[in-house]
Amino acid sequence: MVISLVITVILILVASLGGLLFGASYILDQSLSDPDVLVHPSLSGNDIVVTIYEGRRLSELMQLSLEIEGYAPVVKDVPSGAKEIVYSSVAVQITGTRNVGVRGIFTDGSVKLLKVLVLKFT
Amino acid sequence: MIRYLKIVITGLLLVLICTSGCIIFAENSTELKPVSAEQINRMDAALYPLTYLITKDMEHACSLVGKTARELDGVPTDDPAVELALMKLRRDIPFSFEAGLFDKNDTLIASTEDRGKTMEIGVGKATHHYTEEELKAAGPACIVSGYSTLFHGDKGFTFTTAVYDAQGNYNGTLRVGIDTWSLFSGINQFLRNEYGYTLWVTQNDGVVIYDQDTTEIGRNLITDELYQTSSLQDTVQTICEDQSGNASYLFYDVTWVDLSQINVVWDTVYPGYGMEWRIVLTDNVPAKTETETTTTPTTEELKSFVEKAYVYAQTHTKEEALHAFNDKNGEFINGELYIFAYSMEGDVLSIPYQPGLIGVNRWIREDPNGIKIQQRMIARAQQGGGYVNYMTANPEHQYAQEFKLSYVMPVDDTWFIGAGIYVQENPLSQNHYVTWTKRQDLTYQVRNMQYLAKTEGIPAVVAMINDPSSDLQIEGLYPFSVTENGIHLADALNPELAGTNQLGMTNSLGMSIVREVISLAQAGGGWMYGLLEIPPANEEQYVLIYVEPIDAATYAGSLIILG
Repeated sequence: MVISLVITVILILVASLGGLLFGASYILDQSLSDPDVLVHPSLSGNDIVVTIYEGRRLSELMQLSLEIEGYAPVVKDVPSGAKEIVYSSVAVQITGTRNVGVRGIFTDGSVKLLKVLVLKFT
Repeated sequence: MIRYLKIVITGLLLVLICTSGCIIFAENSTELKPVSAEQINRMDAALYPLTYLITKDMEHACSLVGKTARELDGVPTDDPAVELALMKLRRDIPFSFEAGLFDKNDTLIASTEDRGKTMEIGVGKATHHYTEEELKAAGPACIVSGYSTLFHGDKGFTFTTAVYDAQGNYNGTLRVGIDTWSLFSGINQFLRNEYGYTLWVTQNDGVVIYDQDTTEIGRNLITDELYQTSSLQDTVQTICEDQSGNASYLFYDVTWVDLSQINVVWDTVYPGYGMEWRIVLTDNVPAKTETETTTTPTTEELKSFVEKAYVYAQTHTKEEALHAFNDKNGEFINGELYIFAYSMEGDVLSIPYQPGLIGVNRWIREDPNGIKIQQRMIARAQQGGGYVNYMTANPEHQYAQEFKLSYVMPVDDTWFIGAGIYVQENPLSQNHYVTWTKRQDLTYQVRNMQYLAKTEGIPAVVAMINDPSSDLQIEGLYPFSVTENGIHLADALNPELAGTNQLGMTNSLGMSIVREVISLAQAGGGWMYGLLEIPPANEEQYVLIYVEPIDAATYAGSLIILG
């Protein structure tokens, strides 16, 4: 009786975790397949350059937040008409492979994930 | 009505018969022209010194394998002397991949490298099995395997010789994998540049072990569909049967559409026990045209062109994007610019002017200096994109090998796109080439640093790099050492960089040479080009770099300035 209860609890936990992960990846896929603004980060020395291309909410884009796995996000203003935002020296001493994300902060206060990429720093 | 039908059908049949006759006539119309004795003599004069040289290289390499085997007789595998002997052997044969010791059951028991699961000590198996009798029959010579896939996916052949225990009983084998591209590509460059000839090499069973076109390597000349023309088959038969000679045949020219006459002379090299190679010298090197192309796009125009394709790929499905990139009449063709696309495993996804390559894996494609082109592109794409250099055939200049600058961008984590321009002002586009002896010197110097780091320690190696008169130095080469964190331990070209972190150093193209060097070393090592400020003028010049890991956290490299 106790054993079956434990197994049931474990199954429920596994199912919940699976659902959570699936849901998270689904939301991620949804947001990235049709981003509000198309951006792309690339590494140049110790800098990361985020190039801004196009998007239906380009005129509403106020700030970009660069998030490197294991490091605090760095937020920078996006001047009107800016084609690229340079995050100087954010990659100092970063080596190996890390997930890098770029979020857009819009005039209405909404925050949207615009790009996720695995970058190989070395 | 029926009468008219009969007339039409008869007419159609006549047209068909005449047309087929014309086709047959056209196929046979290209007759082989006689070749003068003077031309054959000139070709022989270029070939024979090379066969002598290759023979001597093989004899020397085999003698080193035999000498090392005798040093290892009766030495327990866990003795540090085993690792040192293998490292020294690998250093002294610069065109080798790795050296390994195997037990009687062909299981790997010691090696110079453990790059992956296939190289695991106690697990990895030799690619070829030889009996004790075969090894005895070889005597002092090494057994030379046929061309095949070796450990960790590299392709080449192996030298194998027996190792004995303290009592003189057969105890296993010592094997060294040989990189045939490294062995022959430098000689081929020499031939092209100095004589206007080119080289291919085949085993006497018809398997091609070297051709400047990597797609032909590993194919069998006798059985492969590509070579089933009557004149070529006659020639192949003769080449396989006769140890030397000359012949002519018809084969596709560089366009792979038209047939042209190719004249060859060949000679035989015996690289070791059980193998004969035919070294075939051909005269099918088209002269480089002097006609200049239209204005070459700038690097910024190149980048913008790729970015336009990137936006397209991000706003369309992958299928739609690849369809557009492969369309020769589409918007992604602009003069010499076109978009290529590859998977992150090196599979061709888009290449509009060579559609036959779609689906082909080009992971191991190398340029004449050993740069693994697709692997360098992928490494750059995984940094988020940027410029990458390599040499490749320029169709605008009769497919001469020229220096190319490409810009690549990842579309997602599974595939990337790019485009490139030929850099005419680069010395490598102007008949300058790095001799194979210089490339061997670079490899030797880097592997010597590995060996010295093991025997005398990394600080001793650092001191030798810093000392212009140390035994490590080779004229014209600039050794360096860097840590996994980007700290320059020593740099013969820029001694003042010692102790500084150079991860952030970029050239005018935004490339971080140190990050690329570390990435290449962590992948096992290899060749790359770099654009560096060269003292004392500190003007940017292209360099050729070879790098290998010393240990998990320290890497050794050396470079030569091009031009």
